[in-house]
Amino acid sequence: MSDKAPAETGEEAALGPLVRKVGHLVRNKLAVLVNSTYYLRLRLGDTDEKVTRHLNLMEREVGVASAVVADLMDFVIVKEPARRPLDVNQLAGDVLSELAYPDAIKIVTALKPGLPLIEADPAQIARALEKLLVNAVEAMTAGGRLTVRTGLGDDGQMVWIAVSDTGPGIPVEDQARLFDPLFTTKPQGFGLGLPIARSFVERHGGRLEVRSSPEKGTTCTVTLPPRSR
Amino acid sequence: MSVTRRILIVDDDDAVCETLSDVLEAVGYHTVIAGDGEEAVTCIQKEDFGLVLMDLRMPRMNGVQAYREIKKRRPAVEAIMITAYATGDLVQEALRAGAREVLSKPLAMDRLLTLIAAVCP
Repeated sequence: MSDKAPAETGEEAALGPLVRKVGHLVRNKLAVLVNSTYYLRLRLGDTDEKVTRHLNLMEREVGVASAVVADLMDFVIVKEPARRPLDVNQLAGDVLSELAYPDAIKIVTALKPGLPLIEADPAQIARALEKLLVNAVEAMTAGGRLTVRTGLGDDGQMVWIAVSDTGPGIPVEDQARLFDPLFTTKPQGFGLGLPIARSFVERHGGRLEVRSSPEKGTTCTVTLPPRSR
Repeated sequence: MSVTRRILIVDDDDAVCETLSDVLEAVGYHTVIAGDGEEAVTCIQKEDFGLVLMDLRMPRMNGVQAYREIKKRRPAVEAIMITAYATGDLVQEALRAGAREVLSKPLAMDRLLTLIAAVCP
């Protein structure tokens, strides 16, 4: 398999319609399960420990299945960015506010005020950022510090967002394969997170870089061009 | 029941409609189900609703087209669109047509209920 998403290589023409149709169908079925589970929780409450456990299991497993379908669709299907002026600090705050993380992880932000707006699809850039944040959280199984910084490049033009963790870092032998589709070191991983993030960023004329030092942690930096005047 | 607590659910998947209806009725809203955009427009002609909760991609008339027709007849009706897959263009079109939000399926139900509570106080 190429190290690029089908969306970038032309394979999308063959795979896209199939994935779009199957994804649409599966998401509708998952939606029914989510709605039903929610209804059962409303009606049954937390009165029975075993029932509550099963409802939690259903929610969790449906969540995993939904995430896999979303990754598959994002990886295969070309979605042209629906661009609008975007404040990366606002976006970073919004995505962080939705992030789930354990108490053992501390979130630190250093968002540079007054950055120029970028012209981007908020959903796609948010999704790329979400992937980096989730990777950072999952890298710190024993807790740690997740830092989100924003800034302006040396050229005074490019805007960057950096996500750093204090996890164990990525083994040197794995670093060259980080963007290979389906490459993962996580037992439950699907291996499409970084390829999707890079695909979305590059579709906006930006780039995604990963730097990692064993024992020191990992920093992923997204650089995006400013809004054209 | 006040019109703001009356919700028209529009989706071509019967099970999505039924389960959404059950959740919304359980938390105190009155719901009516329509199987597509044309049926939704017919419903709106007969009775008023505070909100239309509508699938974006449906056969014959998509959610945006249906909402435009609904607004011609009942300008005050709000809309929240839901979708299992939509292009960015269609999402933008829905927002330009006046939809409050476009949510992805499967829905985050707590978020949906919070949004509905804000739209249908």
